Amino acid sequence: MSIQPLLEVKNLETTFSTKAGPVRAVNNVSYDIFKGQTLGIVGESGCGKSVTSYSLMRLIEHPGRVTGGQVLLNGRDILKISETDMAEVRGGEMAMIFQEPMTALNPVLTIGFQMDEQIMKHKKCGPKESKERAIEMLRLVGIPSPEERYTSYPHQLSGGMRQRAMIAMALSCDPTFLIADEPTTALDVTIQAQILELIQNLQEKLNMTVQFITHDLGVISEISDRVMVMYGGQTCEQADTSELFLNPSHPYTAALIASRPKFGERVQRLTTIEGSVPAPFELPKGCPFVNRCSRVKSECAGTKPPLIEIRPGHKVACFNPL
Amino acid sequence: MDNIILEAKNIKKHFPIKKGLLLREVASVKAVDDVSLVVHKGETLGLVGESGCGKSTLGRTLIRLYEPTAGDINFDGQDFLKLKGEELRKKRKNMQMIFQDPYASLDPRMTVGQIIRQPMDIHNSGSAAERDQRVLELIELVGLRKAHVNRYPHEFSGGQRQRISIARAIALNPELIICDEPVSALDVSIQAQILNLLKDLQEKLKLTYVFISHDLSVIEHTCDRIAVMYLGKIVEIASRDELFKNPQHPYTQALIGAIPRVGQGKKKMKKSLGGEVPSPINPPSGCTFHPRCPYKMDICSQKTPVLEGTGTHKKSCWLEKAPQV
Repeated sequence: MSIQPLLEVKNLETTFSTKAGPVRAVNNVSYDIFKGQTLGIVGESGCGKSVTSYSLMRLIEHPGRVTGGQVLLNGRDILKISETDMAEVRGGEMAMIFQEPMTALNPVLTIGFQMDEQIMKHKKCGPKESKERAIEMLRLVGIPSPEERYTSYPHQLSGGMRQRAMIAMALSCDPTFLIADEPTTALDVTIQAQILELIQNLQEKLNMTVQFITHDLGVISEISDRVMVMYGGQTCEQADTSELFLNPSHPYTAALIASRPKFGERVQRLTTIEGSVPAPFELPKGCPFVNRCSRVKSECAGTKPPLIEIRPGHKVACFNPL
Repeated sequence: MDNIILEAKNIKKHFPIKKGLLLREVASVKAVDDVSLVVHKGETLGLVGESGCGKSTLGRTLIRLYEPTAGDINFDGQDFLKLKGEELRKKRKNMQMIFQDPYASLDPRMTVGQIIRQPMDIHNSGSAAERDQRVLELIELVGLRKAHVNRYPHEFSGGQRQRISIARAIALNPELIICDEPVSALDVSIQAQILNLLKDLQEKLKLTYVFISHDLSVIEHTCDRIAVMYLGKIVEIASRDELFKNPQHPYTQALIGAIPRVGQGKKKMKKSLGGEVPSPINPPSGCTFHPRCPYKMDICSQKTPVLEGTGTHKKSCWLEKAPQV
């Protein structure tokens, strides 16, 4: 395509130095997201989906480090800019919603204080305008009596309301790019539906680009335009959502979809993936899925399969795709 | 009917809230409020609902891990609440529990062998050699290896730990197992393994399950009959096919509508159920669901509906028939 993507991630690599040696939590991951689109990243615990997001936000802490690659946001490599410039980008152009609102919010500061801090910094405005903006945002995300909630502490809000407050906070400075890291995992289904609806509506209204991370295939299939499946810190497959679910090509993607009980489809036994997710420091040398794969070939153990485009827009890292 | 293994009538479990110097009871959390149900031999009864609806409390009350505040429980033809001491202990052999969090429910200082053997030690079943033999049998039955017997829980992954707690639960050949969110803490690929294992064991050992989960897809896959709970009450109970084909209670309809489905492509989310679950300390008057209900009528806030219906499909709702969605 001739249009430039809003976000281009190229060969991203994040390494944690541990006693057992360096652990590559994100290994050579590349993807693009076009303006106004939603990319869903799906995978099981430890697959590197959250570390990828934290790397983009430059929030990886010691002993972890981004050790390679580029992250181009509107053409600018945000891994190269100074920490002061990054502080402008973070929370401004690019914002993040975290999984656990109770741990992401500061318990001893009011919701209003935490919002003002961010708004005054990025919008360069005074406390009065900032308060107006904060209350407007709280109203936008559907929090009842936002004036009162502005002075509430996080523990005074329910889980769903806290998640809404965090979304309000993330959106308060008109980000063009939003990262949502399992924003509904801690919530009940009816509240989850409310939050997903909210994110979709706001995305439309503000023409935002979204990177949505989850382990729930149902959620990913309903909210994203494109999906990336990760396993063992690497990309297995990238495709448009309907293509991915109709024609999964990587054995892991196919097994993952088959192992989930599907609503309204009755089977006696579920398809399983034998074994369990390997720990990051004991990843095999070749394809990370090699020990659990049903279609394994001789070259899988020794060499990492490259990510190849098998159909337009459909990329797979596998020597023996379906 | 003789194929009823457990019958609970008007079970209530209220947790008191005490305040002040004299610790006077100022209020109570009505975690389970007037629930009646039967469990048939060999079936899987699902309890589904959102957090705080009382499904776990009900599960624990059914096997007297919590003493009910009021009500009757009949287990295998005996008044289970009257049992004491040795009699109660004997009866308890027949009912076991599998907990949600396999990291918290296994003692980290005991080996796998000791963990699985413990119920047999407590109930003095068989000689020492027989117990050791049984431990090895159980380990293989749940899909672990004999070599694992002297290892500690921390050496295992979440799915393997859940297998250990399943082995412990079936050690005494129970009839009834309460599975409290047994797969919620596990990764998707591991969930399928555990669900298959539970199904295999049920067939092999003729087990009866009460299966608690918040995940309707998992409930639909595993259960024969399903009870939907909201704020401490059962709002609808029916066979699996009935419930999913013909949900009658507006809350059940909303729950089913809120499940994200795989493979239907990106779609605009439908207008979802508004509001949140109210506090069980001070539940709304009448039907507790009325503040969130899209079909609210005047009577709903005044009188509490009772769980009734034709045959096996019962609902507690004032609507004659909820509009189909």
